[in-house]
Amino acid sequence: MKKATLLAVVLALGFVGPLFAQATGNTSIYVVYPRIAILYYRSSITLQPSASDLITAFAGSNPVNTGTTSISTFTAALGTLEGDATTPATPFSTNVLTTINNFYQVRANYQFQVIVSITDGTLQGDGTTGSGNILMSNVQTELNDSGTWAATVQQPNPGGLGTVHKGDVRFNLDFSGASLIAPNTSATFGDAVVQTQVAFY
Amino acid sequence: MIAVVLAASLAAGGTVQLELPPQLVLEPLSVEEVAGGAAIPWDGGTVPPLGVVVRRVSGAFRLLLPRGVSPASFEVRAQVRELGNPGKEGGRVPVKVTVLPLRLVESRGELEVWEADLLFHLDLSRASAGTLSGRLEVSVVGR
Repeated sequence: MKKATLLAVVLALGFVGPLFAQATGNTSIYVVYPRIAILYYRSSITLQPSASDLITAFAGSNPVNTGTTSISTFTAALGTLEGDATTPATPFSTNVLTTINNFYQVRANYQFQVIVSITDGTLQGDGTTGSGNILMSNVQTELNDSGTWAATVQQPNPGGLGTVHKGDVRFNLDFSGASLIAPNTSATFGDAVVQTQVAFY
Repeated sequence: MIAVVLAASLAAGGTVQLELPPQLVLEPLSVEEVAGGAAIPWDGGTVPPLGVVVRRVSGAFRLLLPRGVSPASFEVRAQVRELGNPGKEGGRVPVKVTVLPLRLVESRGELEVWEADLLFHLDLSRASAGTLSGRLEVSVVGR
């Protein structure tokens, strides 16, 4: 830090109009601004893809993109899916790439990285409507629609706390072990966990 | 009338002095203060705005007036210039400074020492982590 200035300025008198006096002093000022990162995260999200999206996804051509939804529970109209999927199900893709946009947001005043991981990758059937499970794997993230997906992504230019960085997340869902319990036409699978971590680098 | 009082004191050989400390270092900020925490549950909408950072510096400057001269005879202004990350033009921190009322703290012969606190309102939205530096300018103008 540069040396301080100590000023003691004596009044100077002016002679314009009424008698005028002024003193001005300067000193150095410092603010200690530590590294700060703020993660805004979704504590619960429910995925509810349409049957037609799932059918297309199983056929391997159109990843399910839910836009604004989540992971704690999963509801899909599998009854409808089963009937409609008989024709286009070759090749059948058991891993449906599922993208959740705007999964988290970050403010930071120092370069940071985001690490996503699957803490619990099993979406278990509730035993009433669905049995077996849906397995989650290969979670990745991207920042600010960059198109660069990885389990760890970095932001070298955070721009200060006034800038908000949007994070998307994607992962595979394997439906091959999930089934409906009759006579239900949809089933609920729930309680997988994706962890999002922000760190400086 | 105020000008007459001031002129009289100066004619009598009195001086009016402004004293500033060698430097002011504001208390470090914390993430709790800025945002309430480092990890915040959120519903997916617009993220909440940042909290305003306010720092109060007690006894930030002193005004030495000849005995009998009221500090009300003066208007005191304070502003911070060029606060930001050294060498980074884009990270300037807008600061609003509020001068709190002067209080008499001691007498030194023919002088009375008045002291004031300053409130700094910092907009840190564009600054990067590190030690931010700038200049505090205090001016005292006769009314």
